[in-house]
Amino acid sequence: MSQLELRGIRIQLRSQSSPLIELPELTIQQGEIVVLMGPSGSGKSSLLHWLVGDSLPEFDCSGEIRVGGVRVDALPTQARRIGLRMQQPWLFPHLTVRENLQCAQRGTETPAERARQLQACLDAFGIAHLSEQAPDVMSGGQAARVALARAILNQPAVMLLDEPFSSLDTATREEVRAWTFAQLARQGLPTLLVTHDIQDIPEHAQVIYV
Amino acid sequence: MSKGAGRLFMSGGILMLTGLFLLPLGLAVIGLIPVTASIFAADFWEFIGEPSVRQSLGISLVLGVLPPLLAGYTAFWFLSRRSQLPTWIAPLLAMPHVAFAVGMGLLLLPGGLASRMLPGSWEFFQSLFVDKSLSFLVVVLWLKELPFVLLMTAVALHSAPLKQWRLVARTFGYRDIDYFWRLVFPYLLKKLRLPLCVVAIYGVSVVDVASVVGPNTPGPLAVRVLGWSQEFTDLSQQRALWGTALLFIMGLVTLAFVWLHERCACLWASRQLSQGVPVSRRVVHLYQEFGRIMGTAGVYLSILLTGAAFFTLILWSVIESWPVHTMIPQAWTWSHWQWEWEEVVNALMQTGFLALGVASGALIFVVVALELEAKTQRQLPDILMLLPLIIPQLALVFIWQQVVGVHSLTAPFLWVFWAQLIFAISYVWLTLAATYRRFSRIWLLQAKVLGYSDMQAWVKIKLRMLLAPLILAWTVAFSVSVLLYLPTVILGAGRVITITVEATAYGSGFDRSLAALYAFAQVVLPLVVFIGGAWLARRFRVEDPATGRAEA
Amino acid sequence: MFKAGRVPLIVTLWLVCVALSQGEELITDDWQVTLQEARGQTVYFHGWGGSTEANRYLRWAAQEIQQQYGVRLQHVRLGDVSESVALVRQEMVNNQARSAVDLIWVNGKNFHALKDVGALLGELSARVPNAALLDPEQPFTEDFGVPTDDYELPWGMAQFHLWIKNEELQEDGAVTPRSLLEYAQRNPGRITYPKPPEFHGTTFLKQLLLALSGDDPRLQAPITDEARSELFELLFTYLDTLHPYAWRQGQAFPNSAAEQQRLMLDGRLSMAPNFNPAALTGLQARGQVSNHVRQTSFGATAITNHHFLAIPKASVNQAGALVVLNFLLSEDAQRQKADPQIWGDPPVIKFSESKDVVGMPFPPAPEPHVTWHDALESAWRARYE
Repeated sequence: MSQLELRGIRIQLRSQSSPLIELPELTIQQGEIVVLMGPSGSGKSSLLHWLVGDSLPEFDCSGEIRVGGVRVDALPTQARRIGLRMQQPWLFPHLTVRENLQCAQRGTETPAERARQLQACLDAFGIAHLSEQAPDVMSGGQAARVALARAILNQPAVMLLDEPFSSLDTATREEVRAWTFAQLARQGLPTLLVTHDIQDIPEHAQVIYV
Repeated sequence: MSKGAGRLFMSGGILMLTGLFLLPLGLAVIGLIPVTASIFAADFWEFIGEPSVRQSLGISLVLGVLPPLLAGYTAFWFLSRRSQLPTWIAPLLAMPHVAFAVGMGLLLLPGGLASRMLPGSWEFFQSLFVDKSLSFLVVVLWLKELPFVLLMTAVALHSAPLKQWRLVARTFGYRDIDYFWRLVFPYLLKKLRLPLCVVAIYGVSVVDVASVVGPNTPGPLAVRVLGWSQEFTDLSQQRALWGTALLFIMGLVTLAFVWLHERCACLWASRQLSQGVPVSRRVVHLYQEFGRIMGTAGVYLSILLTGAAFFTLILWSVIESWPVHTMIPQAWTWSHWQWEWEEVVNALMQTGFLALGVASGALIFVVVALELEAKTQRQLPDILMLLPLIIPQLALVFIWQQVVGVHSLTAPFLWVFWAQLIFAISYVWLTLAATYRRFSRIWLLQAKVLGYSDMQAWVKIKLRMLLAPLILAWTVAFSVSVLLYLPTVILGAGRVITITVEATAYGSGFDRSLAALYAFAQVVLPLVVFIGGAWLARRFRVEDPATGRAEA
Repeated sequence: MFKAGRVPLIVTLWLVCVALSQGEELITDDWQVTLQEARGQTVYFHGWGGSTEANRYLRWAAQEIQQQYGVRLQHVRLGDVSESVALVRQEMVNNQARSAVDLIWVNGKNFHALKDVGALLGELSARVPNAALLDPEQPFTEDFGVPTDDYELPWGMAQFHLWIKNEELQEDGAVTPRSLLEYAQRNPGRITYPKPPEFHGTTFLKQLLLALSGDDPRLQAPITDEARSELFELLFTYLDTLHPYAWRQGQAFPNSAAEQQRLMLDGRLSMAPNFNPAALTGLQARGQVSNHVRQTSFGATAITNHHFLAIPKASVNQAGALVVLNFLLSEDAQRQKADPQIWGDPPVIKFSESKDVVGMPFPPAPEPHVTWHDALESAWRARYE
């Protein structure tokens, strides 16, 4: 049973004395989406980067991170099982969509099983027709879908979304947003969403303002 | 990567950086202090007061200032109207400076190919190109440096979001030409500061090309320094010492000039921007025409002449006799090739293996240094890494020879390898550092989030995305190794005989066919590597969508 | 490195062989030891690499030496041998016990530069048996006016002369300073000489001085202020008159004789200096030089000198170097060298049978005293550089 627990989180710029973000206690259960709202520059993205274990030399960060009850803040990125979908899709430009997805499969299954999973993912996310394409010829909406598919295929225990819709135009954004929440709901992953756009908040979500 | 491995990498990397590169350079700089201090001697000012010394200084100054400016502006003019370079620019770099100069001479000077093949053109060529003149030397350097500057300009242009800039400029009402000179030009100058400095220093310290086509009453300072150092009287040794110090100072002066030019040009551009008034139509028109002619003519002349010089070398290597005032050679022969084949192949093998090692070593070294930068979040100063290109080569090599001394006999290959490595490192740094530093670390984070180990992420994502620029840097290092002469001869103690050593020897002789044959053999390796490298780089080129830049 | 370990073994084996097959050669014990020591060594022979003929000759010599003595001769070809001279001098400064150079091809200032710092192995004629064959009539105890003192042995001979285009510079006998000037005035831009201190250039000046002064005997003695001002006056008046009609109006000069020869063959000059009187025949036979070119002396006599071989004291493969030097002075090697089809460099030994020996074509003149050499160079440079 996966859940994300944060305790005593404190993010502070080295050059400043007061913290940018303080979260005394936050638990996100399975199937739950928590939204972190705030203007740009408020340290939201930095929080997410720190949660996955990225080094942030200009910040002082402290606190406890637990995934499924296990403390992970001393573990390297690879072992935390936290998925991150950043503002840009960051699809590896030298790989096709299929290869981008393949590089997210870290299970120990047989090759046949992996191929089956991959196909299932392509179908489930409605991106099978893109599978042989290179990332640079896709539209923003297509890239956004592939990026989420890749993050989920990676089977994280927790999902972090960092302004995932901000790079899309208004029409596509609406569509991708609905699609993303539907996919997340289907997976039931505990999700922390960071945004500055009030439109991005799904129904019934807990919202924290920073 | 585990903590321990990370620390091992850090300490190993720092050790390598200091031991292999910084220490020997530091030694050289310390060795140069007494040399430079010698200018405080009273008779130094007497020396400077000699008219011929002052004239040499003047010539060297011209060589340090004009070629970088000419090559720079030609490249800008050319690229202000196109976004792409002709694909065969990179292989032009393979042509050694001397071979190019010899080829140009064989081609353009009276009695050369052109005047032989175009009857009645003798007088024309005689009036246009004057043998052993400063003007011809400047033209040769300008056209030879152009491909290098073009390549560097193209790299810099690739790294800028030009489309967005142009759009913004257009919305402000700028014509494209205004946009280029007011926005892109100052940006380019900043980006090209180091390459232009390298061209400037090359001009100040060039010996071989200058003695083939340059003036000699007196010659440029560098040529005279070499002459003095080979005369072995106390006076000329003293002069060689002073000359070395002067060369070093001249180098600094031309660097200051490049910087000053950049400042002035940027100031001009920002003035123009803030005034916001487009220049008058007539001026723009005139200017455009001039730039178009200058840019296009320069680039195509450079390409054409390099090709022709190459062709001339091949031609001469199979000519048996070619009397003057006849249009085509009288007799052809393969005998030069038959005679020299074994020697050429031997020298090429040695050269090739050495260059393979040097290029790979330099690339690994630079990548490690750049990774250290990334890890420590501290940048090594570029000027430090380019020091070997700024200190006069002769001085550097002799100081090393003093230190290496007797050990040059025990492992000559090792010493040559190491000395070449230092020069190759600088060139790799020049071609690679900017692109490598620009690589967004978010890619690595993304890979790690997906479960890649540090090593996997580095190899499969970073290395792969940077493969094209890595290949190009490797090819540059390879040809640098092939073409280095002084370090090879002096530190190799005559044990390491590369094709450049042979080509230099035959180039000093009377037999033009053999000189051409060896010069051709000298070009072959870099040429193959450059063509192969350009092809590979094209294949592995990766566009980075995060920045909209092509990493190559 | 790995070779060093094997050397004792090889030497021992070889000693056994030698002991068994000893007999034929009539040589001293010392030489026998040298031969034994030399076997297996690689001799690094540094020399100017611009002469195709010399290079190919040495290739032949290397094969012979390998076969006869088991010594490998590695010819290190340089653009300018003073690079190696500078290297050896640097080694002396460093107090280096082992030199990179085993054998070096020098003369003139390069020899002086090495002798001055005590870098050379002495008593060469006692160490090299074939030194006994050297032609006693040749004046090779001095090199550009400086005594060789047995620190170098002659290898070949040279005589300064000019290549001229027959149909252009028509001369019945020798070219004289006067005829050269007149030709230049009629045909501006077709006369020049290599830029001193290139040694062909300096020799051109010396030859000019000899001719203008009518072989003034003071040129053979150390320079005096009086002789200097008198004779230089002659020389520089002449050059001041010549230069406006010279190639590039005397604003630039070829860097070497080789360069001037190329310019001549390109039809841009009417003359070029040369030092090897036997070379032209071979070059013309191979079609590299047109048959319209012929050689003549500049003035009534021709400066004649030698080029030499020397061994650095710190040479690592000294025994090998001595063996190579000895071979190069053998009759076989000197004959081969004298063959115009191969190199055409005149011999320095007396052949047992003196058939088809290359002689010197022009009446020889000795080098002016060495003090003139430096004075000429610096005066020329102060004036024209």
